Amino acid sequence: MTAALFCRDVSKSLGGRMVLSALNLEVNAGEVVSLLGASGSGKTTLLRIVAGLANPDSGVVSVAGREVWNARSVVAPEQRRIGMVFQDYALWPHMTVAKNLSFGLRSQGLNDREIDKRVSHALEVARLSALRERYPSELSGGQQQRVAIARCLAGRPSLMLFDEPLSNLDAALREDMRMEMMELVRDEGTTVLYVTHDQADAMAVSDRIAIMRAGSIAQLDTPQRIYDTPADPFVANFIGGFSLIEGQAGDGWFKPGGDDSAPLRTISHLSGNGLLVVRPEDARPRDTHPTNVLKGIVQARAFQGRCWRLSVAVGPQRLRLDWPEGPAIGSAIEFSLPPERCLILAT
Amino acid sequence: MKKLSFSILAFAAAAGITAQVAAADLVMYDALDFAGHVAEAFTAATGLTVDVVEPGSTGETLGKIAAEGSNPQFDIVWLDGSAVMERMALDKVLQPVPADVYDTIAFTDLGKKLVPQSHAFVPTGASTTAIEVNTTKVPAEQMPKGWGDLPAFAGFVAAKDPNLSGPAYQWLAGIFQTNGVDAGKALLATVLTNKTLSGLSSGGNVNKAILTGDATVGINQDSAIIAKIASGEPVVAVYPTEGSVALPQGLGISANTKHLDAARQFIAFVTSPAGQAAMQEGDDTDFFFMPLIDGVTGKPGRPADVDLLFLDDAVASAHETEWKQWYRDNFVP
Amino acid sequence: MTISQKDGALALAGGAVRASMTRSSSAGSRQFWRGALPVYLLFFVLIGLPLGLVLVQAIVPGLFNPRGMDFRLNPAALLQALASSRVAVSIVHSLQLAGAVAITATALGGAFAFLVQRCSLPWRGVIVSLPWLVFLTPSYLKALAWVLLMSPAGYLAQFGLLPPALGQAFFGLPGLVFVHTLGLFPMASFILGSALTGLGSEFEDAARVSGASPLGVWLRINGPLLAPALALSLIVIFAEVLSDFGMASTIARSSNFGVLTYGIYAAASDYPVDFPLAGSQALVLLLLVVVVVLADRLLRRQKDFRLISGRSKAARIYDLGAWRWPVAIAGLIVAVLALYGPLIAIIVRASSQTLGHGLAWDNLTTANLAQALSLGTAANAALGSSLVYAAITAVLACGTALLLAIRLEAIGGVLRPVVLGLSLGAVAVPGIVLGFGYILLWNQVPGFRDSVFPRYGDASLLVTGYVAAALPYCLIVILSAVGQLAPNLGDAARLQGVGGLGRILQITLPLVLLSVATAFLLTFIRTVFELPMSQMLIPQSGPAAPSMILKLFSHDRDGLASALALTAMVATGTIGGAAWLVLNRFAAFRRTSALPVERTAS
Repeated sequence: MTAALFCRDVSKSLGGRMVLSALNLEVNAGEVVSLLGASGSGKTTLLRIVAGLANPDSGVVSVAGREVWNARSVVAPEQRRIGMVFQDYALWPHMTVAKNLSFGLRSQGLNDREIDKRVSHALEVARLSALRERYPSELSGGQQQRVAIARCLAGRPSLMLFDEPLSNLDAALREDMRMEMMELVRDEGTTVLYVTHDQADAMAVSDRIAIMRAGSIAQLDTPQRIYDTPADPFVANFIGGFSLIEGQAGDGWFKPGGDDSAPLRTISHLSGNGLLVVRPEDARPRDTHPTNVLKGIVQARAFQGRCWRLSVAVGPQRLRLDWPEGPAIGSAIEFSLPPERCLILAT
Repeated sequence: MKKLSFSILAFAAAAGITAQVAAADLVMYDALDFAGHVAEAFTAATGLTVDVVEPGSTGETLGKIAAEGSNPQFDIVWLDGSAVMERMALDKVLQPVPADVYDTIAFTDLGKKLVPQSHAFVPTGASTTAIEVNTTKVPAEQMPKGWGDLPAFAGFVAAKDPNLSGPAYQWLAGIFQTNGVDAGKALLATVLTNKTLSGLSSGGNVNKAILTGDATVGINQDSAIIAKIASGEPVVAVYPTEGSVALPQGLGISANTKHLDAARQFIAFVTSPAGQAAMQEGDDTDFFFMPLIDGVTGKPGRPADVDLLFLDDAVASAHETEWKQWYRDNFVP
Repeated sequence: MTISQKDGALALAGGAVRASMTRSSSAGSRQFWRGALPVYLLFFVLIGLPLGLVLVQAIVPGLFNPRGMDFRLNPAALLQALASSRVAVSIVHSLQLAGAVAITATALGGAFAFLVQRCSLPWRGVIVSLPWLVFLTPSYLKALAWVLLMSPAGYLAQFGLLPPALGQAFFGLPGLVFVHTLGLFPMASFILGSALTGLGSEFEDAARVSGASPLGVWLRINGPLLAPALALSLIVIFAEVLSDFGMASTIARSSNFGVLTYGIYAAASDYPVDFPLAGSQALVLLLLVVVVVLADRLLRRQKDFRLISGRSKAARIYDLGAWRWPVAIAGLIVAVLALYGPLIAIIVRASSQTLGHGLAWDNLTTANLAQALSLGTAANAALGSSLVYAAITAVLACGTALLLAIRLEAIGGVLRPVVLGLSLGAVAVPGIVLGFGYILLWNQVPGFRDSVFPRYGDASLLVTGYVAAALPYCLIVILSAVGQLAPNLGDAARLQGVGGLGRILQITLPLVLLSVATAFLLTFIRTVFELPMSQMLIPQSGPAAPSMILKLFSHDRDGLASALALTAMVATGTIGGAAWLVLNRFAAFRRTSALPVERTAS
């Protein structure tokens, strides 16, 4: 089966700086892949290159088996059959919702019946039928976003690109929209490349996540695998909430630097300088794993509903922990870590 | 699409304007009040159309001609002043008027004298420079009689800048001819001591200065003074005892004209009774010219018996830049 | 010349330049040149070449010698011109006038902007609309109206309102400063007004909470924040006065107050033309303008308060209490002096036989207006052709500017600031210099000399000149509007398969329609009254209205001149107003929040 999107050795420099360096990426049909990275990591540039709104310096880009960019030939964006949902939605303010959907179809030369059918279908699945004669300025942010997606869907693209589509929404709406949006996309079986800088977004929507670092992909894997086994400290750092503790690792043990407690048991066989990955939810009461205990002083605490989030000083280093109660600031705390969750990364 | 077809329409409209222009039989540059009216009468009489281009003063008209350089756009030019006409002929901007044209015109004696050796132009009328005096400011016994009396009015003498006015240059060159250049310069230096009055841009402004009392006397084209007298203003024209040089209106033909026949017809019309009548049908300055055609009398108020001197156009033309510059440096603010 | 276009343009362009700097560019150098070429070519032919011809004469004085061209470089003429006391005096005059007016007009405009933006006032409508109306009346008409009012036999003297000393003083520096100030304060008012709009009250509130007095707030907070706008206003007005020809050829001319622009005109109005003198003065004038524009760029690079955004909260409105009456009366006095007084003078003069007999019943006549309105008269023909020329100019200038703007926008990157800089420079080129350049180009340079279209001596070249004069600011206005469109709007259409023309016509044009319409109407109105080009490039078919008006005035036919001016103003006002209403209705797409710039949804 041909990949829905295939990028090989795509490089791009802007003003002398490498934005993408020999990047490779393959997205399968029907798959949702996120590009997750900080600003400047090249994720938006890659997205624009796939769309055809920017051109790489070298490499090959194929969409649905067709090479849309290589050193010799370029397919114009309007010929690529790619849909894109922009960060600001880019709804045409002077057109109604229905017109926003039909405009592109008309340009593609479809007949009126086909256009009507597709627009109605897209409006229906996006639950926008009642709003079809409204102008974008008369819609809420969530509705605007659904219009943007419906506009894409109506074009029946072989690939849909999402450029941080949730970043303009506030937190409460965001989660609902995320689910609704993905439900829509999944129902239509569309292939999606989704750019975001938000780890939660990426985790929630993706089949696979590509973590981008300085123009290349640091790790490409399912959300769960990335969470459980980040490939390196960069990835681990990027997944929010993880604490990384410096120390000495040996075969099956780890000793945090600057702390005199006993070494922790781990499942790693690395030796030398290492980083212990501590996920907040991994902290257990002292007695759960009595041989794997760390001691610390509570520096700050914040109530989070299900638990307390503590900032704990272990020797000179700080950890973020989820804890069932909120000890007073300055009090001592002892907790244990399950050995099988103690992942050690080489520095 | 709309925008594009708009642009096309606009271009078509502009092209239409071009076509319409190209159709005129004659293009005339002029700085004379009656020229437009005469052109209408000419069209009525002959059916030939004339585009009348009036950039403004004589200076502005000449400037346009000069800027056009070797690409003159006019067929005929009609201005006050013989020196500039001679100069344009020397620069090959004008072609000599064919000799036979002069033969068909019934010139008066004065008219004959004003026909230039070079055939640079056809004189169609004349005026001269006089001293304009506000009779409410100057009692009869103090009335100036010639240029030599003007120092008594120093500071209150209005004059045109020869750099802007063809007639004014004719006057300046005339003074240098009658008084000698050095004496002429010395005289003017004692007379024109108020720069705000000695650098005026038009005869109208000289009139204004005298009528408002800013100046008591002025050096002005006599037809401008006569026009004001005719409209009832309290001024008189004093012809200087030293004599004053004639200022012919010259009608010249472009060296590049493709309409020589039409130009000939225009000259014939202007020098005909009908043309001369058209030149007098109005109240502005230039309508009060001194006729040069036998049997034609000037408008009421235009004296017929003025003694005129004749400018040595060659000298005047040769020193034009230098003398204008001298005037500018000394008398124009 | 152009006025708020310039200020708006400068201000908007600043934003546009910033925007384009931050936007990533995908343009390779090949695309860069391909996109840039038509723009450069157009600017070169329409502006660069004529300008160059004028300037080069300063150092190659024999270039256009009627008795044979002489290509030798010879700075003697330039040095001689610069050493001449006349040129020195006109430089001093120009600088004196421009400096004085920059200060007075900025002060008056600032006060006006403050009144309009920050105070509750009676008769607000009159005061708010004033700057716009004044701005749309050409300077030479105001100047001529003031001549009617202030001359020794004028209306004010007739009513005994004018002490002779004041009348004397008027025709000189004080009068010029006075009339210029009343004519140019709208520019300052637009510049400072837009800065004040952007300057919300939050800074003020913060200062007040921190204990600053109201005066302290203005001196320490709002003042510094407005400083760039103040500087901009001073600079723009300074440049405007330097390159003004309308006042220079009317009041300044009749008071023998020589300034550079008129000096250029005078040097070009002689036989033979003093080409080196004209070129030298043009060079000096242009250098001064360039220095000013550079100063502006420098200043704004240093002090660019990004805080002044369009997103501030509504500003505090001051309640002036009992003071509002005297303040409003002062506003009305300015209105009368700047607009209604001159307008009334023109109306009265248009409907009377002679100036000297004043407002007597038997002096009233409809002859002047009848002549201006009757078909077949020269005056009427001038008005008619001016309206046609202006309409064609507006269509061409705006159409071209729109296409160029879209093209530039598509390329993005470094080109935008370059073109904006070029346009701003071109806006500052005095019309009189450009007009003179056109005469030279179309008469002396082979290729142009024989050009059939546009051809020298007919309306096509005049319209070309008008377009050249109008294009830069049309480009600035439209480019700014296009630059404000989120680029994603076009990209979205592109990805939907919409082609280039479709995107221009169905996405870009509808969204910038109001800006295009604004540029169109301003161009139209400006062109009907454009003086220097009209004067320099008089078509053989007859002069355009501005040169006709001026000519009638200088031929003591000020009654007909006033009637023609009045008719032109009424006609332009009616056409412009009607077009604006229609477009406004057409463009009102039920857009409650009009600008598709950024959307913060909640």
